[in-house]
Amino acid sequence: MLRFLGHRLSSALLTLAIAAVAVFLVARMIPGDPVMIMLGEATGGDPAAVARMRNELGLDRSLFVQFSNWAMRLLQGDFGVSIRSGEPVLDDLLLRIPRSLELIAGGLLVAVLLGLPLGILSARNRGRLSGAISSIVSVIGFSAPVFVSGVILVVVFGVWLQVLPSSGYVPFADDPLLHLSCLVLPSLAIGLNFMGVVARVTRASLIDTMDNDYVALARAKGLSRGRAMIRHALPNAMVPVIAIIGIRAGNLLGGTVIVEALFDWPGLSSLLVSASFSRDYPVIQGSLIAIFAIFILISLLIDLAQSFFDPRVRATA
Amino acid sequence: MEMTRRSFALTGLTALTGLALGGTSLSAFAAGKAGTLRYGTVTEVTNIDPHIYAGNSWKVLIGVLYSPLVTFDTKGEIVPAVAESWEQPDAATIVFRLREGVTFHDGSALTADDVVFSLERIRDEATGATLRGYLVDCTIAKVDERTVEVKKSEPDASLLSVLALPEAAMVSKAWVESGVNIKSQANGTGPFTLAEYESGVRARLAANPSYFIEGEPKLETVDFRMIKSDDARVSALRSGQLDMIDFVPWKDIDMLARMPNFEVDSASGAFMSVWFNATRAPFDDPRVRRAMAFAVDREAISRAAFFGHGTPIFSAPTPEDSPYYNADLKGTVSLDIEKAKALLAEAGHGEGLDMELIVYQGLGIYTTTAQILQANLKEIGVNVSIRLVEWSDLVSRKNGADYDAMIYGVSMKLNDPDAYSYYLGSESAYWAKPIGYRDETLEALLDEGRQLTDQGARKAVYAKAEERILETMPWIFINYREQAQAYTRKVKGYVHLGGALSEAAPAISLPKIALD
Repeated sequence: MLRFLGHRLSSALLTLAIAAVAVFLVARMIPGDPVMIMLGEATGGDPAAVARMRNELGLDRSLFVQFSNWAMRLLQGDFGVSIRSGEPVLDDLLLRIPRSLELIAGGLLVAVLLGLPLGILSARNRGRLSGAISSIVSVIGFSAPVFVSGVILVVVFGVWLQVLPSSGYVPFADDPLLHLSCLVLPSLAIGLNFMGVVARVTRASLIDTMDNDYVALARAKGLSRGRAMIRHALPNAMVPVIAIIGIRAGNLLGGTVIVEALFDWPGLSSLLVSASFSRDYPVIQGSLIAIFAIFILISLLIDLAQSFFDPRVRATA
Repeated sequence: MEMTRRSFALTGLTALTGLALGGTSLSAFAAGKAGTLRYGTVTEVTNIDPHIYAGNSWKVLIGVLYSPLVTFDTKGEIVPAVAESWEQPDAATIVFRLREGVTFHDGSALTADDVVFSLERIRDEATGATLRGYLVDCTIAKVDERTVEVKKSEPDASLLSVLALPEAAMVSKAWVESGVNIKSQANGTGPFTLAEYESGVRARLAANPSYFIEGEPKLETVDFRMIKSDDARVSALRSGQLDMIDFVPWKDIDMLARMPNFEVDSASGAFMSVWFNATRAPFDDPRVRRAMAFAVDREAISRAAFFGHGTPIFSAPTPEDSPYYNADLKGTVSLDIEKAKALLAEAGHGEGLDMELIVYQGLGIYTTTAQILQANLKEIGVNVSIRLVEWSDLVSRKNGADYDAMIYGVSMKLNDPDAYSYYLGSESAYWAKPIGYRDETLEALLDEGRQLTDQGARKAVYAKAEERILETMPWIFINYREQAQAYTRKVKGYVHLGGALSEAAPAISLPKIALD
């Protein structure tokens, strides 16, 4: 187990290092110049003012020097300073990362808490009306894109029924209840799609597992079909479900780009988007690194969970 | 980490009991705390340096956190602010007498040195201040502890209006020099203090107890939420999470106005225009530019792109309620395909020409306007290809002269016809000024107008200047677009302003707004 963990950790660090280079290059490859964006409107791009600011920001040095400066500071945990606000990027990241994680956690919760029962229900009641209905619900769930389900949620719960805030963010410390109710719609929006996937995989895997001899044996011992399914088939049926959660959990991070914009949720993705529009390099780089790190962390956790359920994973690592 | 795990668990709780929970908390949202105005604004403000303009929401924030020497009231008149009075010994000089007992939010007293420092900071090239161009040839002198003299090298009738803009904010010398980050902290003398601020996300303003105007502000708190998405801003207002929004999307103006619980105020704000790159042939030929101006169907654009909330400009962009409005020019430039074709033929392009139009991709008003223009110009043989770009690309193309033509909305900068030297003057610091365009006749007229003080005499000069502008057509003026503010009926005391005060209107009203 320790060797498995060490192996995974070192490959995670290597991925992160490669990511850092890529992130730096990608940020510089976007056409446009942060100084022109800031001074372009205010001073008409006055060459003297532009040169002065480029010098202050170190943007007049060679790409290699800029990269090594940034990388050296990054190794010491210093993400640099935002070009726009002049504040440390790390402060922004520490504020925003928990908010995006909350969204991902909310989405996962929606997916698991609704997807699993839905999948079990449709497997158990296969051929009956209730089974068909749960199948239909899960199909609708995974075929509706986030920007469609999100808009429907806003209109129905926010504008018509007015039972949940249609958008916005309130710090937990200011008003915990309000904070959580602001989280409900975005969590649903980001999780519904995933819920459909979890339900479909659970259903297929359960039906598959039910064909195994040990389930037949349990049935022969006199267990009801439902009990045999929950007690004996379900634990083994979970392996592909966890695998799919692992593969798709990273997608939730991608989903936050749309959901944060739609629900005006100030997380990591919206920071990245606004920084990209103004070419705030340190913020773009910092938030991309953070996104990579979260992605890597999620897959690491999923690997661990999988190896816990299925010892073969450890053996092949 | 502990925090994250806890919120994780709580999230689950919410997802499960979402409806019940949401129900209770929504009443908290809808009722609103007494004295808190929840304001949804369009720009994500990321830099609150009070001297560097950064969008209309910036103007609102800076307008209530800081104060200039003088300011505009809700009627558009210039009234005392940090200065209690002023006199103009000659047309190039203004002497300001400072109000006694004005303090910054940090408690320190405002002095004549702070005033001099603030204006010098605007003039300093290193600041990159928006008003630098206006003030660069000024000398600023402290006369005594409560008197400051601002003197230009030439008479300038617009100087007082410039100093009344929020961009001419007074800052504390000691505070700025202490090395604070002025891009994300504020210390002004305005009616509100910056209690909380998250760059690009939200700002909480608290009433300044020692504001120098008695009885203001009336609100205890203003919660600013920066919501870039038009739809999210409108639904937040409709679902009761906000009391007021700015920049109401044009498609929603009528819808909100029909709803009984909302008030929608709108007035002409920015004007839309086509900018030419006069360093590039054939756009260096005024006849080509004029030809296109006569091909534009301004009525159609106002109807289709602005849902009827636009007013065609058939002459030059001086608002009809301005004392400088010249009715004789109205209709000088209107839809006339034959004339357009004739002008184009005269310029030697009778067989037509191809051009690229750079258009900001972020707003429907721009893309629809571009499509109508494309169809209009097709009729006179001008083949337009539209290139949609993001904002930063547009700015760098403009400053690098890398375009044929672009469309953009220009917010009115100044409550004075000298705004034309800002828009079109070759010495202007305005980023949008026409590239490659310098007309000696116009320059002379603008210089003359700036140096006169008599309104009648100025009016005659600016009438000639406008005529010249329409003859040389550096920009095609399309229409004024209405800027609308929407709010719930419990908001009292908001006064919407148009023209040059359109952007600053919320800042002018905020200290006077009360909630029912």
